[in-house]
Amino acid sequence: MTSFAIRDAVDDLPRLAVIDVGVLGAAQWIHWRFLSERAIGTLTGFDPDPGACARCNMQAPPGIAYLPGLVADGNPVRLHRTRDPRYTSVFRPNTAFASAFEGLAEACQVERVERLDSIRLADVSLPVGAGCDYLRVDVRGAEALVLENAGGHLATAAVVHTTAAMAPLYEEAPAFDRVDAVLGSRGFIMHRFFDGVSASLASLPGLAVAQAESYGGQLLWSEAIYVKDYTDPCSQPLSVWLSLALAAHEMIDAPDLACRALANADILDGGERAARYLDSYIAASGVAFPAAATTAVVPTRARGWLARLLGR
Amino acid sequence: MDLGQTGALPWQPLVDAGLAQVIGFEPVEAECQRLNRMNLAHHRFLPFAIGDGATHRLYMTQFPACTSIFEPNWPFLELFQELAPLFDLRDTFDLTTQRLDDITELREAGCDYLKLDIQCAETAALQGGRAVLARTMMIQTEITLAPMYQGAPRPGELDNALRCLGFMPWRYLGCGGRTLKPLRAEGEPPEYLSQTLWGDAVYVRDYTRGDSFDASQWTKLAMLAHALYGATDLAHLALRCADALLGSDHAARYATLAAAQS
Repeated sequence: MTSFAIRDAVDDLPRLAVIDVGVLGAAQWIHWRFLSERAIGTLTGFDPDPGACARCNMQAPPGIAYLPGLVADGNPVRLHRTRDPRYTSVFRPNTAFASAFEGLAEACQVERVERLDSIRLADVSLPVGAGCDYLRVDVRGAEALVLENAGGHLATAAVVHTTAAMAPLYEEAPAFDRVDAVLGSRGFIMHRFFDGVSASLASLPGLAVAQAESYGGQLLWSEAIYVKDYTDPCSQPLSVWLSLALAAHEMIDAPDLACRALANADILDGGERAARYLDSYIAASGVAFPAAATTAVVPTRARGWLARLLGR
Repeated sequence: MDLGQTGALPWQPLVDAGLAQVIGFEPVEAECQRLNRMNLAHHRFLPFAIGDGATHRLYMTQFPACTSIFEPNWPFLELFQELAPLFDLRDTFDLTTQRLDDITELREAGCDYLKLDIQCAETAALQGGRAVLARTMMIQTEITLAPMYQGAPRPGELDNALRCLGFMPWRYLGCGGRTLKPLRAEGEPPEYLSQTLWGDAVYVRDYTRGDSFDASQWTKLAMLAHALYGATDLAHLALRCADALLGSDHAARYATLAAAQS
């Protein structure tokens, strides 16, 4: 992560309103507390268990709150609780597929099914009264349902960080193509793919697992970050560019995107934020600019808090 | 079959072993004849540009690998370090494309493995190739992740075209990008700070629903998985499925060899 706080360089950035729609629900709050600690913004998360929400809300710092509810398309759903909670989904695990892989069928084994009413993000008003700036979606096959029913939150959001289903791990679940389609229709472009999760076939137990690092295995899902298309500064209001700059710098390890977003904001209101950001960037990285180079980053793996969020 | 014969040649190990014949494409008739006269081992070139069967303007760029039937998206490209000059135009002309399924020779020959790298025309090529690709087991394709060309399909549209043909993503081989100006990252080829622009992915016919595969398809999948990607687990699974159809014992022998080399 870049080693200076962007607010030290740019003093008119808003606080981000972050939404977390995740398979692990309120148990994830610990990974978001940096939003409060670094005065980056607030978090609104969701968990179908009201008790889990209450426990989180008692422990978490101000600005981090979980609301009871399961976010999907607003219709009644069957939540398939699996042995490994990371595989819990509103879609039934595809046992024919999972059984081909080492340990996957056991992880996806359904222990109970809960009938729940789902809610749509479009119907959720954030406690802070503002639209969403950063949306995190990690719901095992239901990402497209969440995004297709996000309503105005996708209009205000600068960043969507979502998992993208690659393999048919769940029956009838939409895959990456639908996630990309809905985000494309709402003005987002892909920023990067990273941290793919793979499984080894069970046909060569032991040997396959041992070699998995070298040949990759079967891709199950991947992380994808989408951002509002930043080509045309006039395509979004000032607030989106400021939110994008803050999120790019503090959350997704993208200083060049932060600078671009600030430049877009400056074009809209005649500010000088990008120049101040550059000064801080040069001071922090200790290099002359632009003749000398910054340290290159290989962005295919998450780093910093993003890696902790993903359990890496 | 290799559409866009530039850069990586993933099929080379099979060609070197005499186990594959490569069909390439060169739309300029004279150049195609010249390539065929070179008598490259196990290669054959056909005089077609593959696409949706319509005539398109071809944008020939300074860096040949960026040439496309889609016009470069200049406002986007110019935001990045060391990117836009690759797309400077050398020439433009109208190019008549052919659908894969409209080429009799391809329909008869079929295709076991397809490599695609045709700068956003991949989706159209796949959509016009349902018959030719009916028995194809693996497809390695470039995916353009960001809007580098005007009006080009999004990555999800390419993914959808592949899924509609019965394929699923198997693995990502890597990606590339550029740094947004004015920041800069060093390296040759240029490293980048955050924005990925393209990547390479391998899709495989869904082998967990392989009831309809015949022994030949399973065997070819094993060869591709092992020789091109070192995927011991998939090669072994495919051999085991072939054995079940043939009554052979290739999978057990393969497992012994794989264990010995691990």
